[in-house]
Amino acid sequence: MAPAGREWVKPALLMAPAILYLTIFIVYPIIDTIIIAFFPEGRFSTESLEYLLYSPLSKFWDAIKFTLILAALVVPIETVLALIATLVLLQPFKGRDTAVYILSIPIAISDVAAGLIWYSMLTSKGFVNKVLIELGVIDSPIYFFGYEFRDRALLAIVLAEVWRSMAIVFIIIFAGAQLIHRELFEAADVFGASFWVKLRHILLPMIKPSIQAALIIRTLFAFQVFAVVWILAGRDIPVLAGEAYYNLVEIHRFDVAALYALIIAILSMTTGFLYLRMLRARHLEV
Amino acid sequence: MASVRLEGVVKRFGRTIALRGIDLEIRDGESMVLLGPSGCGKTTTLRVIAGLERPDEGRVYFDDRDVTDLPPRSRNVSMVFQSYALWPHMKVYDNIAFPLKVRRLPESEIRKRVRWAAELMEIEGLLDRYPHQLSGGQRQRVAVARAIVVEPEVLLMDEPLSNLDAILRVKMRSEIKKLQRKLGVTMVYVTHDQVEAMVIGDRIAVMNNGRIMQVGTPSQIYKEPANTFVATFIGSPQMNILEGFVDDGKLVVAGSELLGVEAEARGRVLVGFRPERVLIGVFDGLVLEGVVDFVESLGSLTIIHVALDSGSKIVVSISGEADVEQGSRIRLTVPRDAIHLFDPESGSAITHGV
Amino acid sequence: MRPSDIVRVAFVAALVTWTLLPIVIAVLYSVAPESEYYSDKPIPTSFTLDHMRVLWNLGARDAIVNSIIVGIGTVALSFALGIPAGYALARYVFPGRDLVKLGIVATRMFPVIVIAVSLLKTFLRLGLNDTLPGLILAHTAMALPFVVLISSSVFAGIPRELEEAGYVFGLSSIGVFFRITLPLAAPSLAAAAMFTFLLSWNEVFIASALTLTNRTLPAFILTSALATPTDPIKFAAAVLMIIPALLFILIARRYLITMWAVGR
Repeated sequence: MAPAGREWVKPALLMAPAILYLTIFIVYPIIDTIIIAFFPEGRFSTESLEYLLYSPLSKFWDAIKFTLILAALVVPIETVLALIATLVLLQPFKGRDTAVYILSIPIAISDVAAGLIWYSMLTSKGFVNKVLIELGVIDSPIYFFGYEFRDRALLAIVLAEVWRSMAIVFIIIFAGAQLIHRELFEAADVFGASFWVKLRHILLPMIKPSIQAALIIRTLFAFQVFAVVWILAGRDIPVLAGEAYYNLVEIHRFDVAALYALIIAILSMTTGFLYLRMLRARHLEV
Repeated sequence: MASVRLEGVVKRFGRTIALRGIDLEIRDGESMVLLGPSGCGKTTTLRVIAGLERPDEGRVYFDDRDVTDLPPRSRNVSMVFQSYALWPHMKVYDNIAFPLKVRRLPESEIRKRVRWAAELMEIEGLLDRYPHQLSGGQRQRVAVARAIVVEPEVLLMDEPLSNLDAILRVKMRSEIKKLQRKLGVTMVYVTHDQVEAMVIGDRIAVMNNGRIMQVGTPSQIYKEPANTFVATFIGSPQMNILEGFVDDGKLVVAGSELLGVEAEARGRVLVGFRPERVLIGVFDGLVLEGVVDFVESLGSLTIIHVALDSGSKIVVSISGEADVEQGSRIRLTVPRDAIHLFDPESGSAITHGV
Repeated sequence: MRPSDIVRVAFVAALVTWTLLPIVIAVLYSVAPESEYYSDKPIPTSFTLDHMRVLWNLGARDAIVNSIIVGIGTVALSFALGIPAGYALARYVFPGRDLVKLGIVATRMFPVIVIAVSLLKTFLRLGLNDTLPGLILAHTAMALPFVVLISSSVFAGIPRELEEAGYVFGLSSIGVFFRITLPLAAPSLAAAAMFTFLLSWNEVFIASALTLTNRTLPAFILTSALATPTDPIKFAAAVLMIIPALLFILIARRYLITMWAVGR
């Protein structure tokens, strides 16, 4: 029969391989990670937790601190920038599409490449220092990298992260704004609405769902920030994912790595839960 | 060619019931129009015949073959969709040829049949184009060509003219009718437009709320509506319906009386009469008096809104210009044979003409 | 030009510069001779492929080959598993459908880092660690939810009547899928495939954790290329990384916005 009925055998068969795969490769590993973190020898143990909290080698509190600081800086900045970009690109003009494509480029660029690209901008022989020296603004280069310049390194990381992940926020918000019917703006024009009135009372309320979605997706991924930090600051600026990587790959403390993974998961799940609840709320509004 | 028979077809979508028991026989070679307001179940009925929906209850027969459980491809039906559903990745030629290719006809036969259908629909010049390069009217013709090229047993049409402009619609509806006559194919045609239904249907099935309200020729539907729904749905302006009373051969309505009524009715009735059957002046029949409320001059037609002395309002339609003025008193006559009586409870017709 | 237009042009120019300048600089510095990079000139004027060559010999060649194999493998596996599921989500109404969709959104949201620890342990046991098939399996876990959701929205965007016309004119459901649905979905799915390839190409955490000698390009860069003292070699690494990304934007730009409007 045509797939118009409410049969369930066919969709179940079609869905089964994907669901099975996700169960084996995502659901099971999550359970396994709990076991690795807390049942290393088959018995319950808090050794990993104690290491995390009390070992002088552990950088846990710093990692939490910097992960949250980065999220708190990067996400709002890139959202505001993406909103501005949406505003100036909403009305069609010659070259608009090209500008949209250019602003979208970083969505396809890896965090590794983004870190290195910003290294080329900010290192002591980088573009920014050379231009500032050329212009006579400074005599000797500003150092962004190295343990004693941690605050500047943080700034460099924020710049690179905003640069890299603004694209996804922009695309989600821009896509949402594109769906708004032009007539809604024209109607506002007819009634003599000013730019600010249109922004506040038409555009913002209508793209609110897109903004919310973008915000939460980005917050979620911000908790996983890794390669940009690793490349620009190493463990000088510890973050949760970086510590997980260090414990897993460099010192092979599987239990501690698992614990870091779980902490990231819990942070993400809390945010994800908000996301799903909002999706449902939006569904009810329609 | 084949006849189509639906027996007790029920279709539910979740909690909503789309069809509440459809019994319908479509004769071999006949053009049957399913007419009704949106949501009445006419398209669902068509899709059940096509095999795109499986009925929850009831059976579907082509001739005496039970096709209820057969997929569309085993039914030898074809269909013109409301959106035309031309495949955008195929040229016009390939769209029309597709059903034949699927049936694995030899290439030369396919070419011959496509040319035949294209000539019939006057689209020979468009075969090399893609659907997006065509106008709405041209797309419609391609969709019809694709539907007739397989010489189906049953040709199904789902509001095929609803996306065309008014002028094209008038032209195409007579063309479709002529085409159906010429091919002698059994056709089921869904529309919400009563004029279209009248032109195209050998018979019309008027549907409402998942049920068939009446099946009959266009003239039967117009002259002898089976109930108040059909009576008011067909005809423009709508049939006037007033409350009345029958007692001992006497019909009382809107303060007027009509004697010698030979109806089996007793007590309260609904009295219906079409605006275009009302005469200005006093003749034999039901005489009504009132004040002209409002006049719409449409050139070939004048529509007069009258407030009767009893307080009811009726609409009268006079062919040509009429010399009436707003606010003036008017006397009207409804001839006996133009009066329909309906049961006030069920809405079913009691008699046509008194 | 009205004042508001000037403001707009200024903003657009600033945003475009902000996005493009770092890429241009990285590319220029990656092909500048060392002497020029360590001079004070902001914009180098000479051209050399020395850094690329060093990087190439350092192991970038093998890493690129590995990355391409893993990327293609990931696309193939995640599409083979994800397309049927995406189609089912788009076209069938079945009990638990919303729950399944929520579950897939949830796995998409789930940090892939989490599965790395467990996978490494399991792969060590099975001898799959440091193998490309092992990495393909892991990257497919990351890409599959994306493929399911994006293909489901692609299929949902194809008018149902086009498929129904296929049924009426003689096709079975398999025939409809391969002769009507798939050709219509092909351009969007191709864009999605390219993006899936990029997901794998760009992924560094799992790749570094699961491989040691069979590095993919980002894993190779994170471990080996970063260790070189010569900056331009690092920039050359960045340029190698972003070439597929730029190609993707160039080829699939028309699908970018629609992909993210619904796909997320």
